[in-house]
Amino acid sequence: MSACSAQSGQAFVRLNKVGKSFRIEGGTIEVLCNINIEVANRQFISILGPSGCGKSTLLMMLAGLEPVSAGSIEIGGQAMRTPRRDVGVIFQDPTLLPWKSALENVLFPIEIFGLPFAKYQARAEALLELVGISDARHRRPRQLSGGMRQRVAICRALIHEPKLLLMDEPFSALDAITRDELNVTLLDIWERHHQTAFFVTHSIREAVFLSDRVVVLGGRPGQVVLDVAIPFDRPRDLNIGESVDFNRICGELRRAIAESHARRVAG
Amino acid sequence: MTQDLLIADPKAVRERRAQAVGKLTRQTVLPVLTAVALLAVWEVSVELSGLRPAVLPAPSAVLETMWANRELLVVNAIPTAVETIGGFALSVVFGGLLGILLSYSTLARDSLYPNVILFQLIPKVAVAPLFMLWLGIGWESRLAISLFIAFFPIVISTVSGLNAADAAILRLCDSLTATRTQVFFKIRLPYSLPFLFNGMKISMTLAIIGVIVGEFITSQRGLGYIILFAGSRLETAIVMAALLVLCFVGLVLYGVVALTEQIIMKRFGE
Repeated sequence: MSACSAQSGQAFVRLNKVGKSFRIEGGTIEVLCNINIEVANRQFISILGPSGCGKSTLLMMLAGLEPVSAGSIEIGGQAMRTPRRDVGVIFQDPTLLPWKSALENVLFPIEIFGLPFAKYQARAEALLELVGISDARHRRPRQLSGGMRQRVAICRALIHEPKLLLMDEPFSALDAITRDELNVTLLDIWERHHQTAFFVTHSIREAVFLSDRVVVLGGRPGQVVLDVAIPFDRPRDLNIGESVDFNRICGELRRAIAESHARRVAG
Repeated sequence: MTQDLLIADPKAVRERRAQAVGKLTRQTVLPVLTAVALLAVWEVSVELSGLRPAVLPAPSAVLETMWANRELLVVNAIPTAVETIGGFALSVVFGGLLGILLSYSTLARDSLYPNVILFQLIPKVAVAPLFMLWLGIGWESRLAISLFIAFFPIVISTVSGLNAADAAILRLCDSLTATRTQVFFKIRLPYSLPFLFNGMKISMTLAIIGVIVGEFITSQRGLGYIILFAGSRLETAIVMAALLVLCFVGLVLYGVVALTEQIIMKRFGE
C-alpha cells in the first residue's frame, strides 16, 4: 500500500548526493557521503542505523540546523539551508522551558512566530487531550514524568501544523513500556494529521512498527545500505509485532546493519 | 501514567507541615537566643570589669544613647539609605549593560574583560579620594564610589547568567527561527535570573559599603559621617548606635532584593 520510491516529480523531500564532513584537529572527518533519498508527500520514513552512523546529523541538516557539506536538500521544492517554520522538530530531550506549564510549552512556537494565541489555544488543548495528558496541562515540566514531557514535546512540534515532522530518537531516553505507549500515541496522531515524517532511531522494531519505509544507514562514512517498504495496513497496533512478516523484515534489517557494521570494522 | 503524583496522602502532608514548622522555629529561635546570650555576656562583663564607656559601652547604654539621639540617627540614615539605593540601581544598570555587551560581542569581551578584571584588582577604598577630587563633596562622589565598588558582581553574574541557558533549548529556538531579541528576552534572561539575583544581593551589601566610604571621605552627612565624627570625639555609644541603625538599613535593603527574588523565581523557577 505504501509508495516506496516516489516518482521524482512529486517527491516532497529530496536529498540529492548529500554529504557531511566535520573539520577536526589535523584534517576532516567524513560522516555522510552520497545520500540520495526521495520521500513522497505524507510518507512516514525511518532512518535506522547504529550509533555514530550520522543519522542524527542527517536529521539536523534536514532541519536546517547543520549546513550540508556536499549535495543539496530540497523540501517542498525549496532548497533547505536555514530552519523553516513549516518544519516541526522533536529532539532527543523534551527541551521544555522549566518555568512554563505544559500548555504554555506547547504554545511556545506560536509565541515565537508572533501568531495570535487565542487561535491556537484550543488546538493546543486538543493535542494534549490526544496524547492523554489533558489533566496535566497546567503543570510545569518538573511535575511531569519523562514520558509526559516527551508527549508535550510532540504536541509542541505539531502545534503550528508543520508540513514536515522531524524526530531525532525522541523516545530513546524512555523505558521500554513507556516507549511502546508513545509509539502508539505517535502513530495515532500521525494517522490523523498525516504529515511527511522523518524518524531517526536505532531500534529496528520501532522503525518497522511506525514507518511506511525504512532506510538503513551504515558504513563509514555513512551511506544508504538498504531501503525497504513496510507493507502493513494502517491503523496499526502493537500486535503486528508478533506477525511472521514483521519479524522477517526485522531480520532483514538486522542483517543489513550487521553486514555494514562488519565492513566498517574490517575496513 | 502518574496523573495523581501530586495528590499526596493527608497524613504525609501533616507530617511534612509539622517538620517545616519545626525547622522554622529552629531557624529563628536558635540565632535569636544566641544573640541574646552574647549581649547578656557583654552587658555583664562591662558591668564587672568597670571598662570606661568610651572604650566599650554596655548594650543597654548603646540602646539608651540610640533613643536619646533618635532624631539625629534617622535624619542621617535617610541619605545613607537613599544613596545606597542609588548606587545599587546604577550598578545594576551599568553592570547589567556591560555584562550584556561582554556576552554578545566577542570584540568587547576580548578587549574589555581582562581590563575589567584588572580594574577590579585596584583597592577601591584607596581610589575613593580621587572621586572627591573629580566630583566634589556632594552626593555625586558618594554615588560614584558606591557604583565603583558595587558594579563588579553584577557584571560577572550577568555574563555567567546569560551563558547559562540550556544549549538544547537554544537549538530548539534556532529550529523555530527565533530572533536574537526573542532568544534574549524569552530564554537567556529567564535562565540568568538566579545568577542575577545572587549578583544583586552581593552588590547591595557592597553598595552600602561604598556609600559609607564616601561619607567617611566627604564628611557631610549620613551614618558614615556620624560614625567618623562621634568616633573622633570618643562618643563610642553613638558610634555603636549608628552601626546598629546601619545594620538595620542594610538588612531592609537586602531583604527587599531577597523578597523580589522569591516573587520573581516563583514565576521563572522550575
